[in-house]
Amino acid sequence: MDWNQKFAGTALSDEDIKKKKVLMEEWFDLRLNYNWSTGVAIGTYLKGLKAGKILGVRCPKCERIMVPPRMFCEECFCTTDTFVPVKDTGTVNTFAICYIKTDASRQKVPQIPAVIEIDGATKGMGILHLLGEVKPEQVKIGMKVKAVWKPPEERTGDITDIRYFKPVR
Amino acid sequence: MGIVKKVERVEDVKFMKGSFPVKFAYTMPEHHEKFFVELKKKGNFTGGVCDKCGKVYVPPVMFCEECFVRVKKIVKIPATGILEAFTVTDTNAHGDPLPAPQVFGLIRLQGASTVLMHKVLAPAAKCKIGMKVKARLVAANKRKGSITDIEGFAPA
Amino acid sequence: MRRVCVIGAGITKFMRRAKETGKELSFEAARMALDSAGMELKDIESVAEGTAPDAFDAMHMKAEYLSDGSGAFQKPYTRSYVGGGTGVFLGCHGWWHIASGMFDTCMVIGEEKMSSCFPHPQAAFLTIFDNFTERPLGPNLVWIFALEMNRYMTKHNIKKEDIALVSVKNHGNALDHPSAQLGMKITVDDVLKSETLAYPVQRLDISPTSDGAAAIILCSEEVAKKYTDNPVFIDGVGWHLDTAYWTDRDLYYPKYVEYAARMAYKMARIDNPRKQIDFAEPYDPFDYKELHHMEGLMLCGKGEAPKLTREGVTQRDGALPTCPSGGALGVGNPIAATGVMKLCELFWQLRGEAGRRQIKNNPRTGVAQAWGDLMQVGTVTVMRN
Repeated sequence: MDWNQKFAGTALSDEDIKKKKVLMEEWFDLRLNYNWSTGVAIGTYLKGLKAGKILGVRCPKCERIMVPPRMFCEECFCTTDTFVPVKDTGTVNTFAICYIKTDASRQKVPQIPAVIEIDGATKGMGILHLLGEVKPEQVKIGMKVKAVWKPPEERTGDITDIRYFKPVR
Repeated sequence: MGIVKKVERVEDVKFMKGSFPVKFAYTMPEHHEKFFVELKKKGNFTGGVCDKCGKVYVPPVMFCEECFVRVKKIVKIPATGILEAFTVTDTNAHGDPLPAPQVFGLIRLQGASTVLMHKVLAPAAKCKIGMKVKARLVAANKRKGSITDIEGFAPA
Repeated sequence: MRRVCVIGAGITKFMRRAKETGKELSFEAARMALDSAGMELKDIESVAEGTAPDAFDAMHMKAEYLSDGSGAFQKPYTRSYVGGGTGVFLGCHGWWHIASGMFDTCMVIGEEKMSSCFPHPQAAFLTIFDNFTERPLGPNLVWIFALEMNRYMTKHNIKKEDIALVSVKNHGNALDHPSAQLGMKITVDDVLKSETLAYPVQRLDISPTSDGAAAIILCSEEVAKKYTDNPVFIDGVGWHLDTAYWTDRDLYYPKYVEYAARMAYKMARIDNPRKQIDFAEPYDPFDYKELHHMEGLMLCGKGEAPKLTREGVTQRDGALPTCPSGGALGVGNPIAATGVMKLCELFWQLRGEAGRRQIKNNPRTGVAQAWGDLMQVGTVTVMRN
């Protein structure tokens, strides 16, 4: 194996692109818009959020109470359609303090995403959400939190009907 | 017990909208770039010839797909060719209606082994498979170094 | 089932943005692999290819688009994709072609061109999140790594300093790899002082986005004899997937990597991985991932990988060299090609052809592993000389 041979590839720098030193074909007219039907499980979950409730679903075989709800248990592979209300409190399973946005640009005020294990669901069942009303340096794994809801008239049946979860003192 | 349930009320069906928030810009490999620069600056077409099998690629490519060797020889290609196939469309890429029907065709330039897809600058009724066509380029000062520097192919 | 040999390998440079398109990158890797084996395209009977979904760089039917560069002109051709796990999974995917007896030769090739996506390829990953329950929160890809890293660190009480040692090691190892994008000498302090993107993830904890391709050539034992008297054997393959409901799992331990490893180890007759494996190339898109995956590969107990790193066991001159190539952190991370880069490294190390990166303890058995999707997929390939 000759490690001195020339390895293929011509690296371009950001400047090459900015100063248009190379020819490029731009395709900015990507009109990819989607309208997804939520299905029964998520549809019911989102309806519950609009009403100020978090819903889980129970599997008739393994009896797990799962959140977010789903129409079949992926372990037992059977139908699950018994919806069960769970609490809107939980425990922080893990969290991050994020200074970048989706497009990798920076933000000064960080978001605090967290996986929150929901009380009333089977242990370990969690949802992704944001933490609020808390300083980043005060967040701890194992912290107890409670949902802060939008007022009923502002809710639309979306995960953001819960603004964030805040620490419970 | 199945999970397919009949929906009794339309209002029960919830939809959520979303989109894909990215854009794309493609770099060109060397041979392709030289083809478009030559077209933009001098209005000439070029092709790449495989030394092994003699296949002439327009635009030129880095490697011959059949022989799997580098294509190094570049030749000049005339701007005239034959219309090998064509079709007509009334809508654009997004499904919006066009002001007038547009003919697209596959054109084999003289000496090329490959075909180019492009607009045919004639109504469908005047098009015939096998007819001679010639490239019409966009005004030199308006060319960008893109396939759209060719306005289309008109009957020769 | 027949024994499967590896007789050639090829790789391009890994770069943040390549001038070449995916086709040309694929051709360069495939051509180099053929030349290294002393073969021509007509000697290849089938092609197993891997590349990320079409929306990534908006090239529809991407496998078909890349087929000519992959050497698949008028050949049986299949494509697989399991996120970052693809590259090592291609070892399994190619293995089926030969072991089954259906083909005597197979070109295995992974390619990625991430740079066409603006403003940043990371934005294309938005669609990994659930459209109903997660996307409205405005997430980005680094969240899931930060969440997993935090859980892993907290569960085992691991300090950032120990994790940073992996970044230092791999960036340093990559200085000896001609394809490397980010080969550089850094210190733990450099890592700890680098920009915090999403605590606990900092800039030097992350592998770069890259364009690149890598390929290996597989064949039966009979065919290998015609080309070389020093083939490398694929002795074990394994792959496993965990639930997409990632928030219902405890992220501190990658069970799916363990199951994939068990599958591969059983085939390779390995029952004591720590003793029977001489070196490893686990997937390291983030530095903590190398540790996470070492534990999943059962090369040490849960929470013990940082100790091995601290003690120098995973250095090139240590008892268990880990990522001697420089890994994704140092060489680069073109998603579907990174794992094939690791398979190439196993090949070169086992043949004693790894140049300045060569491990000195006469390695006999190496394991490559990759991971992908929503912390879901484990793919493992074991090679021996």
